[in-house]
Amino acid sequence: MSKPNDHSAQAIPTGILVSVSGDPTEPERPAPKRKSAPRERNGQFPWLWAITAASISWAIAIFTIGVCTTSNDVPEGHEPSAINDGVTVRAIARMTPTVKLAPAPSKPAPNPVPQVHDESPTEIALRDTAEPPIPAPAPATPPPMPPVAVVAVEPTPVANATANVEEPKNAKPVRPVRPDTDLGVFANCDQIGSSILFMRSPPDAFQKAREEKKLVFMVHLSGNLEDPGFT
Amino acid sequence: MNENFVCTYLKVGTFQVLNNGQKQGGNVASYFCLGDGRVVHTVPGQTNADKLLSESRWAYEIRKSALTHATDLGTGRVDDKKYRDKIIRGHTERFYAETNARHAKSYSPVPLQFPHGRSQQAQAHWLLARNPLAKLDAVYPFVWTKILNEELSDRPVAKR
Repeated sequence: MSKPNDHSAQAIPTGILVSVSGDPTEPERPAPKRKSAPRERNGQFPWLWAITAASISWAIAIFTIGVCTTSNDVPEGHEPSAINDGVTVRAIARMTPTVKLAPAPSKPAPNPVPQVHDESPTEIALRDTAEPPIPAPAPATPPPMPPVAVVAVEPTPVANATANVEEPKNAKPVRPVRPDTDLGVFANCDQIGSSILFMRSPPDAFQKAREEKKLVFMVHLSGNLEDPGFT
Repeated sequence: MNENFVCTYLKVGTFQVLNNGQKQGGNVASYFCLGDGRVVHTVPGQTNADKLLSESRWAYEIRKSALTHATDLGTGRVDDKKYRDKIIRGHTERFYAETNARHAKSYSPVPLQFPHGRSQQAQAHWLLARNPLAKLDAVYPFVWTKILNEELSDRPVAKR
């Protein structure tokens, strides 16, 4: 018979009963793996190298275009023009006959006779349409502005915007009164620069218009027509 | 002007003359009337000589055209309605020419409401299209106060 404190005795099994819920056959999900973004060696995009390469390629392209333009269009022996407008200079050069001058006497002249090269208008038109216009590069600094001269200008009299009947007295010289003008019937409008005869009395004017079958030209105004200062 | 018109004038407003000679206020309106006082055309406000001469020619021509259109050539009798219709059409055409060129040749009537914001000449055409051949006594207060925004006054010109 064994004793309770005997180590050789068989151990009593112990455990905890747990109720199982769910499908025990479902496999466990794998742990999500952390994705790491592809990076360069240093972990950054080489912007400096990209910008440098783009700048070099752009400079080469501009240089190539410039070399092609000058070598194709400027004839030999021509002085460089002060105007470097690509399209305009080429058009002018084509419209005028090109004369190739003889080279300097130090060099052997392959063709001593000046060669005159004329182009027909059709050729000019074809070449103009074939070649796209290449704008010349803008100058780095704008040309200096011409000096502006400040000149004192005397004020000129403004054209009178009113009718002739309202011109002030000092605008025009006083005209003499018509010899056939009855100042008892007509206002003396010559002093205000009008040659129109205005009757003083509107009722008389309407009566006269009825008799002569004319229209009446009536002027309503602020002030007195006879007095140029009050018109 | 004196060949086709009998010219006259009337003071209906006033203005002030300042000490330095500058004028303050004041305006002018021109009317082309029949002998019985009915208004054929009006030019509100100041204008130059060319414009005034052009408007006077238009007034003369529209009156002659209306008279010819309304007169029975056999009897010499004048139809007043035809006369008014011709004047209305003339002012309506000029009103649309002043305001909107698309309707310049249409003869639809002018709007019922006063055309605020239009030119003074367009407003004058509107007035005479709505009130054709109205008496001068009825027309000039409207022109002076509504179109020119002036005040009718019998006061003399004041100096200060």
